Amino acid sequence: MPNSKQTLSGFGRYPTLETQVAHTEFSSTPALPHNTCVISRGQGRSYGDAAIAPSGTTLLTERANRLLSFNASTEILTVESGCTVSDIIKTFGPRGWFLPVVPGTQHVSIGGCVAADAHGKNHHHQGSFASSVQTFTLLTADGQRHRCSREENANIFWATFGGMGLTGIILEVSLQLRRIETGWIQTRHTAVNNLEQAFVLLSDDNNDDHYTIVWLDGFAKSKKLGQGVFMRGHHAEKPDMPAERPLWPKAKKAFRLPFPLPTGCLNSAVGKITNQLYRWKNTLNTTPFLQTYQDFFFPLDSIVNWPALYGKKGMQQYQCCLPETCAFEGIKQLLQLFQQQGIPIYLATLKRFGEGNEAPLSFPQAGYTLALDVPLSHPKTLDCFAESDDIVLAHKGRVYLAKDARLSKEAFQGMYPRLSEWLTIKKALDPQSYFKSALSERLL
Amino acid sequence: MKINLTSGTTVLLLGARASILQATAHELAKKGCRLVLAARDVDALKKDAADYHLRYGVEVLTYHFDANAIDAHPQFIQDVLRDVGHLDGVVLGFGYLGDPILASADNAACLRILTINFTAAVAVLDTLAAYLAKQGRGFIVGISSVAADRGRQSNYHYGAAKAGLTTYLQGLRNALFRKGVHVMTVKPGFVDTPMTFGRVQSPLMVSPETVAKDIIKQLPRGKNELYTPWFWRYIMLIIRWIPECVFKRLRL
Repeated sequence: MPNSKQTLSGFGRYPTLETQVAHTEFSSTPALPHNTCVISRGQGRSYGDAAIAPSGTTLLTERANRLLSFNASTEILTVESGCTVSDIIKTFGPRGWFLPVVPGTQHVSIGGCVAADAHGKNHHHQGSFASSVQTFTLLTADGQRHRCSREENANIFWATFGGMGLTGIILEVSLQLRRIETGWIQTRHTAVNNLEQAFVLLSDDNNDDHYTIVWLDGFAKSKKLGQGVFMRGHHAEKPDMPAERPLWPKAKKAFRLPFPLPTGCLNSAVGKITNQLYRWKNTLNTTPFLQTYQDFFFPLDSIVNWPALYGKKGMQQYQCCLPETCAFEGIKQLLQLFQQQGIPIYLATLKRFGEGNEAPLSFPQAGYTLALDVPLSHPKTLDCFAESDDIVLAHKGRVYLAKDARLSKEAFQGMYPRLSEWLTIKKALDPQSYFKSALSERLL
Repeated sequence: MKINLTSGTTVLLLGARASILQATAHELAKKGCRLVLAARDVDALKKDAADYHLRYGVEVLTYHFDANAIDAHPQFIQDVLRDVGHLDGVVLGFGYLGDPILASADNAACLRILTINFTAAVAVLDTLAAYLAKQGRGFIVGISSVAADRGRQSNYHYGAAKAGLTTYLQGLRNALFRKGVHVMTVKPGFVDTPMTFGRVQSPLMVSPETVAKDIIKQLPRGKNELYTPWFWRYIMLIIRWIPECVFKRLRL
């Protein structure tokens, strides 16, 4: 297997680590490199260090991206794990099928969605990505392939969701698709004046829809803390469509920043104004309207490498979820903490989570999830993240590993009480710790 | 001599598991072409076929084909022609870089480079060219290399074989012109494929998709010799200009 040294980072551009790189496409069954440890990497869309093996080989799965079979009567699609959400939507969307759970970007691999047990704006109705997975095959450290499902190798199946690639290489995944009639979303926006209102809107069944999210203005303080826009939507059906609109929207050209903007181009003043403008623009129309699936699910995909807006040092996202009972208090404290420290929150979102699943390391648990995008160029960012961990721990919450680059071992153990259960399965599957990433070296 | 890549156009891809040909298959399938894939690893090929079929809804056939096993070529071509009914074009993309140090020491390694890149290519194309000529229309795309333009110490066996292929394709283009068959020679520069992975690191490196898009754009325009990306034409022009007395002292 040819390989070479490369310097890689996660999507947030931090940390940057040197690793050996190898491809999996070069033979039909990937050969596992010897005398090294391995982690697989799909599209490199996890924000931190989950898909880099600094002391070993990072196995790129991007070219193992074939769609293998589709059964129109069972609506089950089997793909190789390197295939992306975008590949599936582009192919099956126009034919009337969609993924039941889509994360905030379509440029993410299916293997990555499984490894992180990704979630979307409909977790309170549909659950996490695991809910759409029927079976997958896993290549483990001993070179064996395991077919995993809820019935077969169930413990490996669940350990792999949220397992961050540490149980093995996910080879093929069978997904249950859902029917849609159009590529449009019937959306409705409501202005949110403060955090109390955001929680009311998200939790109230009268305002509910299949997909819901609150976008928050991270610069709004005191009485206005938590002001933003409540967005809800569902897949539009044929009768919802005006005659002149095509049922499937045209592909959008995405823009790529040729280089990271100089640090400081995105500053508090710019952030404040854009956040206010965004809120104003998105609350002009409070009646239902049609939005393309791209605009509704993947607004940030219009700039392929948007973290480059944050400059060379990149950005970090702090995403945590807190249980229902104390989520409001905890999230209020978190927002206030960042604001007191003077760290600009350029993008903040709040979503509702339904019940978690059986996977020991799956992130979503019943309650609410907050995601804050902040620049790494601010000197206090990482200290503030550590302080936030204490707030999250005090409220029995947890941090999302797919977004993480700096959580401490102790905090991680406190946040994921079923870790020991997962470690038992990991030890049985991989006694030598062959599958290892910068993230696992930091947390395990 | 009009080349249409539309639904129903049947294209045979020789060495269909090569990255550039996989990317070319995607582009052809996007236009609705029927694909006939030939390569050594049929199991892997069948998965590629399923992918093209699922994504683009085109018909895809697969055949076992080992370029190195020249004796088996006639049977292979006979099988393909019997099954597909008609053939509109051929894309030849198999190749083998090898190692010049190994090749200069080991005869078998040297022969393998020469056979796959040159002898086998000529053998299979001769038969297919005869078929297309008789039909009176069609196209042949041969993937050569910029390495063919000048012998260098780092890959002169490969370069020599590709130079042979380039010259052969030139002659074939001339011979088939009056028969209504178009021949296009493709000379890619650094392409990010298993052949170059871990060996070449260059800012000039492009993806196989870029090369494939270029091929599919230029083929219907009747391009004869395609450097891809375009700037390689000028890079190679300069490299060919360097006098031999200077060139022999360089480490390229």
